[in-house]
Amino acid sequence: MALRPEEITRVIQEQLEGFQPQLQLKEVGYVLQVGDGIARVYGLETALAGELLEFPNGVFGMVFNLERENVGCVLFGDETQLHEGDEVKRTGRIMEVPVGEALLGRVVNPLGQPLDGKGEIKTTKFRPLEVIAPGVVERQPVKEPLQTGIKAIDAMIPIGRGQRELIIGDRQTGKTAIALDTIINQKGQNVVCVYVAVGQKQSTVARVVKTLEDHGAMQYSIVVSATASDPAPLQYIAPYAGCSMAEDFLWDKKHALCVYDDLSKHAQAYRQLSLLLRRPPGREAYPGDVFYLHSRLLERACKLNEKHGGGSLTALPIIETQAGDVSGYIPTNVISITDGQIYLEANLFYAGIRPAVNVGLSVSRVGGNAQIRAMRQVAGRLRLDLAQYNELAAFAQFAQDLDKLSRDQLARGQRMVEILKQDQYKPLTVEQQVVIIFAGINGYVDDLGLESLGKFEQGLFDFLDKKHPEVGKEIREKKIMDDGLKQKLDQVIKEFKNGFATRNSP
Amino acid sequence: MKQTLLANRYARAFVRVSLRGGKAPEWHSGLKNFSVLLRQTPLLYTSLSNPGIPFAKKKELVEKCADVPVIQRLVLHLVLKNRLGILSEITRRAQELLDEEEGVARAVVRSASPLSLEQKQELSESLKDWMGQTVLIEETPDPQLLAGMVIRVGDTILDNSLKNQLKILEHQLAGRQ
Repeated sequence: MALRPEEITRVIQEQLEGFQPQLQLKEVGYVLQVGDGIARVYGLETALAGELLEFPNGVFGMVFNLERENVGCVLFGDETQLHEGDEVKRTGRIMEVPVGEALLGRVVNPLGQPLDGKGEIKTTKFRPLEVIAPGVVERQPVKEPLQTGIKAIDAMIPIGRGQRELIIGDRQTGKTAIALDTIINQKGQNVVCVYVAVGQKQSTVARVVKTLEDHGAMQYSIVVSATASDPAPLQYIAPYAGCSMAEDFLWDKKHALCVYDDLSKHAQAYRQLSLLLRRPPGREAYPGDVFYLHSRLLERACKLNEKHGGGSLTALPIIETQAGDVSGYIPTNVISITDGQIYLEANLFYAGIRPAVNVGLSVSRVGGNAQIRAMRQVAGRLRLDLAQYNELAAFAQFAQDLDKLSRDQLARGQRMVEILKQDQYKPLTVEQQVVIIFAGINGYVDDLGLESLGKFEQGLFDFLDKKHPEVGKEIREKKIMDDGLKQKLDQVIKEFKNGFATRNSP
Repeated sequence: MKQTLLANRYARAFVRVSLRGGKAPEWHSGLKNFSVLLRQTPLLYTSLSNPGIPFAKKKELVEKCADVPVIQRLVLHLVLKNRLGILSEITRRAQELLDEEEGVARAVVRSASPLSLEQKQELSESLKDWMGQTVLIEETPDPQLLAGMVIRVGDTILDNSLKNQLKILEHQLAGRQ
């Protein structure tokens, strides 16, 4: 489109003619002190808690503490550009972040500014950073499953859409891996995923983004990044910003998943701000309202009722423990807020059981409502069997010879543990999970060696895909295991096993 | 921040004493004069804060510079406590407290060209209507505003300068809010 100079002149002329000179009324205060991501401002007697303040040079701040002599606020920008005596303006607004479809596939900072070099984010929609969570009348119980694609979790610790499930464990036990697998598995499920990185290394965030891109998951995901090198105020608002971005989809009758990686670092950032603003320290030097910090965030996860569109926002907070200590302040807080936890253990991880889920300590308080019937039918006994196996295995270490029943139970348990192992970035569909767990608990693999189970599983899936695609389809559509389906599965597995045995016999 | 807190305490005490003495405006202007004197003659400040000079000498010096005993005592107290630096802050705060006491608001008006007497009168009256209390006007010229004026009362600023209008226009033309 060619623009002519006259047209530009005309547009400017129109603008100038329409310009109404106006008296501007503003309320101001003056900077007393700046440093460490906080500022104290003299004046601003009418400022409200949580209000957005405008500093010179385009720096913004949020009112945090209202004191008798001054206002303590946190800064979201370059504090080195501020000086003592600078003018601070009230804006009368609260903090907002850009939201909407335009953010999909982007990496942004907690203010919604792009970090990925893919240009401006064109959106006109904004949502406040902090909102009151939907109330009781707007909600309905969690009832649809959110498939993670991980056998151990979908079978025993099912997560529902709108649930809050904590992922807890020491460093290097695969917490982020579970969250990433879940995001990757949402492909084609109509779920928007938001990954919030708080206080992590830039390299880690870059790797996460790369992984998501490689698996084609970035197109339905948003990454909100506040790394360890970002100032504490940005780390503090990052989970709320991510939640607001996800909430836009929730109210738009869609489904969203929000991963907070991790909330221990978030609590630390909040502790830093609170101590600098001289709020009194409590246990582990965290301020008194650190519970509210996380509860108001996680309360925003919800399943709306049909009247409000039926959208959902699932939260997967992550907490890092120190040497397996779940009785720390932050872990106990978040455990009590969430609807269950997935507990990962370093010992299991090093023993080669990956994902290293401790079945005994992990729970999902939503339970069977978040599973399809077929999965509930096959996996109902699984947790009990595994608990019995673990008990027996501990006992069997001392026993010399065991009766046949115990030996069989041990063999079955070992095979179930083997079946529940799963490689990273290889999510399984629910019908695949149902088939392999059905094979496991009904003893079809008892006579196979432990080392050949991986091959058996892969072979069985390929066999089903090629020869009997109708079985998977039936499970998917009927969502229930009736006798006919059970018989059919029995035949198919036996048929495959015969071929498998001859192919793998020496 | 600590300084404002401290200055607030001293100012409050000074205002209370001077209100009881019944000569608050005079004493306050005396304090203001001393504060200005202190700023304009660095030698006075350095001698008062020099620990090498005996206190008796400092006392003599202060008594020569200020005639009201209350001001002398306040200054000497600050000298003893090594807090002479907050005197200007105390003066400012005392002014605010006195204004509050008398129900007077103080408006600082920055204008591009000097205001005429009628203009001042009119401004004072319209501000009185707006604020609901008597408004004293302090005028400072500021040619950088180009035209119009900026009025500041307490934390509130009324900006009607050409400079600000041009800035708003610039934002509108550039499509920014």
